[in-house]
Amino acid sequence: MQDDEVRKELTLRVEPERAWELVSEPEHLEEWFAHEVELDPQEGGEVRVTGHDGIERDGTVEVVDAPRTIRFVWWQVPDGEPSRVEIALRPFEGGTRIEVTEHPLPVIHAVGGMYEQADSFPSGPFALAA
Amino acid sequence: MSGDIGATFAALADPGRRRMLGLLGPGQTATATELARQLPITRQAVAKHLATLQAAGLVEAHREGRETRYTLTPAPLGEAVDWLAETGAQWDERLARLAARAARDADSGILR
Repeated sequence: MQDDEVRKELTLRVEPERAWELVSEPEHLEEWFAHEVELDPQEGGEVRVTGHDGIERDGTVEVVDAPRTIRFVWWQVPDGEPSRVEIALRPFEGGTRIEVTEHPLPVIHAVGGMYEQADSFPSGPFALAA
Repeated sequence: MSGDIGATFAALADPGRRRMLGLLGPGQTATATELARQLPITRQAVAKHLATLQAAGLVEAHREGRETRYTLTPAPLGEAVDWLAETGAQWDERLARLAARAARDADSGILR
């Protein structure tokens, strides 16, 4: 939980509803998250990102709980290692506390490039691989 | 090189497996039986943990006569540390841009 993931926290000077727009709407995501962002903010929605470093990543939205949580799995195109990103918002001192975590998911090579988390991966398109 | 940082983290998530890696140490080898003698778990449990560590590329198995000896292969640990550093730096940059973006709203009075 502590040493196997990246965890960052920050306070934003806007209220959670505005912060939610900034973290879930592609036109706002392109202002801070990555250079080009396609993100369909619903469960199972597609993610397609080109970073400021030019690296392309594809992914799938897993959880959307406005205005609190958005979670997705992504991987470097075409077959990079998948990792799970969760962005959580909560009201904090007149603004919004944002907490981001990212941790890598184990790849099960035996199922031919499909992804599956070791302990639980109940939903999402990868469940089809099991 | 394993090339699967997720598997490395999953293997390291268990305190018993971390203890086993500590017992193996650099340049040392041990059998499952030898490791079980130093741990409060059965030889079967040790063997299962060793299989997980081996799949993650953290130990290698060598047959010596009738026994299998295990050695530490620490390369995936370095890859995992590199991933944490690189991913952390990327989020620092992203969140700095997000904070600046939010501050523009706050400064222009769009606090809603």
